[in-house]
Amino acid sequence: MRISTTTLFETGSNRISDLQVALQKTQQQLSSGRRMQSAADDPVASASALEVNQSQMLNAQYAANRGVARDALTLTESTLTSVSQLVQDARALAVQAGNGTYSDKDRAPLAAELRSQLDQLIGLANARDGAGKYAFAGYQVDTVSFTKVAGVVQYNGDQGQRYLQVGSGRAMAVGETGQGIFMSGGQDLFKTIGDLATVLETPVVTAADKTAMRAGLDTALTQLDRGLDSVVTTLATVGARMKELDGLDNVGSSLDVQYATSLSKLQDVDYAKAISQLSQQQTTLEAAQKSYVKITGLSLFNYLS
Amino acid sequence: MAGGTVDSSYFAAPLAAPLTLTFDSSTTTLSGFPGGSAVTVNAGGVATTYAPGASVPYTTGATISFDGMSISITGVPANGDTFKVEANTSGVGDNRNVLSLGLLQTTGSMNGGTDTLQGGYAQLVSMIGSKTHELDVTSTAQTALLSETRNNLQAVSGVNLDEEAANLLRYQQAYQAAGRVMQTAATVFEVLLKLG
Repeated sequence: MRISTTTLFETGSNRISDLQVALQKTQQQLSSGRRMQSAADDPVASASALEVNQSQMLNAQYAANRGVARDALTLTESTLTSVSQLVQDARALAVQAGNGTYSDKDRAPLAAELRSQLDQLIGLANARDGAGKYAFAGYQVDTVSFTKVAGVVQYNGDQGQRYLQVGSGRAMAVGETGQGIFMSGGQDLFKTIGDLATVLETPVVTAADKTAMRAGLDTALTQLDRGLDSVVTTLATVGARMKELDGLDNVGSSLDVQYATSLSKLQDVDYAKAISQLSQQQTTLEAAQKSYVKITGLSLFNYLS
Repeated sequence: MAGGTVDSSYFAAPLAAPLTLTFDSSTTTLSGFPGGSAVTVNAGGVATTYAPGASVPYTTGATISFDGMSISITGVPANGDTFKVEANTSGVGDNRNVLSLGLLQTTGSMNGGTDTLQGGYAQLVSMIGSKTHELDVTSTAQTALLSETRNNLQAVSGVNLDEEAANLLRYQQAYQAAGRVMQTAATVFEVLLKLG
């Protein structure tokens, strides 16, 4: 077959152009570290990479949420630990006040201490988180959880429990309602401590007074135990949730590694392969260029003069 | 009484004023529901609907729905206990809507509820990638076809410079040869004339 001079030049330059395109693609893969420059390079892998990428982002968000949840639970835990200590102290005072040899004068300082413990308890129950939101007011985080109105402590929040998405299938409760902890199950810690102080402040003169005081102390002890139970139960669930967070953190970290590996497999360039490809393409292009110049330089006219 | 929820039908007729439900222990019923509304009580997965104005029995933990609102009450109420249903205007920490919004990311909402938003997008990307790839391949094939055809055309009608050079040489030499013939003829003719 005969080859026209145009064909000779065109095929040569087309081939060089093709080689340059391939070389540029390899160069882009190397400089970006990505195997695919567009979805068309590998549609299936591109789609999978999008999904895996989202899963990885979600996983990172869950980890951030777990951080927030842990902060909230830590605040609840430390507050409730103080509360349980306080209730135990109040209980010790009640037991001490039951000492038969105590006079009104002996009980007065105990009552005073209980009054100050009541204020302290209100302070604890009005704990605020790092953002200044009340931790024990349900959804009403900007409302002071507990206020003392005419000597009676009342709850101003609601029964809402706040949740955080801490895992793909797990929304964890992070806010406790103050009412649930301090005023549930037939007990009201504030009232119990206030009443106990009142009992101790009441002068004991007659035998009836003494019986009344005994009864008051018994009630207080029962109620304090109930209150302590409520606080300790909540503490236990908080501890369980914090432990769960640790478990979820472990799962999250290994998932993150797994996602990163998958993503890398899907979209990262194999450098060794790409570099060897680059040098091979370079050699081919050089050969094409040299042979092009040689072949196009061949002409009978060179011998005619 | 747990935090209530509302569905989309609630917004057509939102609660104008706080509603108070009262418990009657003699009949274990709740009263105080809006007069014109049917009340549905879902206890343990069994839903019972009560006609407007009918007395509604109390079951602990049951979901009580009316006018697009759902509430649930637990425990053992005393006679005359009241439950107030109203908007929680200062419930600024209520993040239930945001939680639901967040769940949209992982809930099937595309392709008839079988795919997540990202899944739908990935499918679109995959489809467009495939189409583009298909067009790339078609384009390469068509370019090859075009180039092959051009080559064939050129093979028949194209100019090959070496061929032309060869022809040029051939014709030049033929011309020269012809010239030489003419020259020889002229010389011969001249000699003949001189003879005479």
